[in-house]
Amino acid sequence: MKMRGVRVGSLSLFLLAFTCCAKSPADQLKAQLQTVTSWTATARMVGEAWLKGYLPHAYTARTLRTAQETISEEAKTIQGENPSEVAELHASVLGQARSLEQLIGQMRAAVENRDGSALSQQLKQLEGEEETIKALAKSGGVQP
Amino acid sequence: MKKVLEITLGIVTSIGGFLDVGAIATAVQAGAAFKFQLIWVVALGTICVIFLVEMSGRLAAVSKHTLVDALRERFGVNFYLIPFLAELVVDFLVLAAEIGGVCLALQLVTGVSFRWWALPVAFVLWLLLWRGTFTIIENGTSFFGLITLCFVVAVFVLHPPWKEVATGLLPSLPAHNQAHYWFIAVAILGALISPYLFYFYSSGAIEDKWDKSDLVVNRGVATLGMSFGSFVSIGVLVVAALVLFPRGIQVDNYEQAAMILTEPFGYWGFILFAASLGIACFGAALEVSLDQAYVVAQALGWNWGENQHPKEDARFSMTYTFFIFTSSLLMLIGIDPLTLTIFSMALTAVILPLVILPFLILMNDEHYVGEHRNGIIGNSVVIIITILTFVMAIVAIPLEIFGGS
Repeated sequence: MKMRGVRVGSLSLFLLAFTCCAKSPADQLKAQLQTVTSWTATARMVGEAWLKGYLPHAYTARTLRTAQETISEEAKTIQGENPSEVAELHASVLGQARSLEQLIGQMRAAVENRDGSALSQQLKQLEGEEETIKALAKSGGVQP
Repeated sequence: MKKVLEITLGIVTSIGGFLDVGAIATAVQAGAAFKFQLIWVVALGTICVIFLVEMSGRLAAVSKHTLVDALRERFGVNFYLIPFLAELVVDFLVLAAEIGGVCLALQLVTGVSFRWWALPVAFVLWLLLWRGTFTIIENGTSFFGLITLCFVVAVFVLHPPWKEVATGLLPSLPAHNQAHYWFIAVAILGALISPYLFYFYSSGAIEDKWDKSDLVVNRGVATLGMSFGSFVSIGVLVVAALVLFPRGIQVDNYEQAAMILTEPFGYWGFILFAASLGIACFGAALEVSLDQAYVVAQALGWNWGENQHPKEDARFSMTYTFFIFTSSLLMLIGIDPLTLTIFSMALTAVILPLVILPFLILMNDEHYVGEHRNGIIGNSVVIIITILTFVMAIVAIPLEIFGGS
């Protein structure tokens, strides 16, 4: 009887801790925005460094692929959620993530083809997209 | 003159051997996410590790016991089983993370996935331990490890705001992401106060046949070596803070960390990062592998010693062989090295009281250290930092896993 009490107590404590710590939809979106922003900045930094000849092709292509995959995963997760309290921001972030995923994919193709001029163009485009995602992040409460 | 040379050699090897996968990963994450705000944690961890390393050398030099021998003898096998198993599990994970660090360095340079490097790296590691001597293991890799000083040079090239860097030595809370801040703080402490470090150090002192005349060298090496070594760690943090933080890059993959030296050094920065990561992790992997064999052999009363031929201490040699190859399997199956590193470091912080508190009892026992017992400062500093780390770990780890801000 005593052991059962201890078990119930432990389980309650765990559930309480879990509930207290569980993320709200807004916090979840904030975390997703942070990941997308971070990988967008990574893609830009790696692209710029590759154009200057600072990075090997294989590493650059791999990092851009990881950036694309990570953003794609975040987009899928965002799509699977439907938070009513941040619906507008949610839709904007999803659209932006999809657009970034596509653009970074193009950057990867440019690196694989060693096409510097295409990458330069895409980097300019990425700069604009980065500003947009940063603005969304700011409105979502992500600290710079 | 001989003592000065010994201390100099010890300092040089301590600097070269200070960084490992945990120190690099946690420092990069800290700098990228919180700029200079976590420098105080590196300083705190360094103070604790200075005391612990000095104590383990003193114990070996005075009592002629390794830490494991003394713990088993003083507390009995049943009690020792708990820190023994905790240490083995953590060492196993840390070794896998170190092997992962070497594999990642090779992936950065060659483009071939880190998973393919797991077994070749494990083989070279094993071969060096099988054929090498303690001096080669201890000094050889540490001299190559001096390449990690490139992070310190990079700090000067990047001209940081020194006042702001110095402010990082004072504890302060971030305005956002406090749960992550504390989690990274715990991981930094776990990386710096690695039990393998002082277990290895005490076994090394016995291998080098230290006696009371080596106490001065021990104190000099522990204090100066660890202090200078921590500058390398702070260097990594500051470079990450200067390069990644302004761009909003949060490091959740080693590929993001690999670019931190390209800003100050261009193409060679990339090569220097890969070389630093590879060499630092390879050196640490050698030490952790040996440490596992030391801990097991000393706990079970087997013959041990890296200076002996493997035929003379077959079970000791088989132990590191087993752990090297099984740890490398974690990389072979594709576990993310950065996640494994951070998890191992946080776990290390959790087990610290289990390992350190019995050690402190030993260091206050006249039967072992005679007149060279700990003073009140040493005891207090280590107890406070250990308990603080443990409390931070049990609060921050669930918050990091389940989310919180």
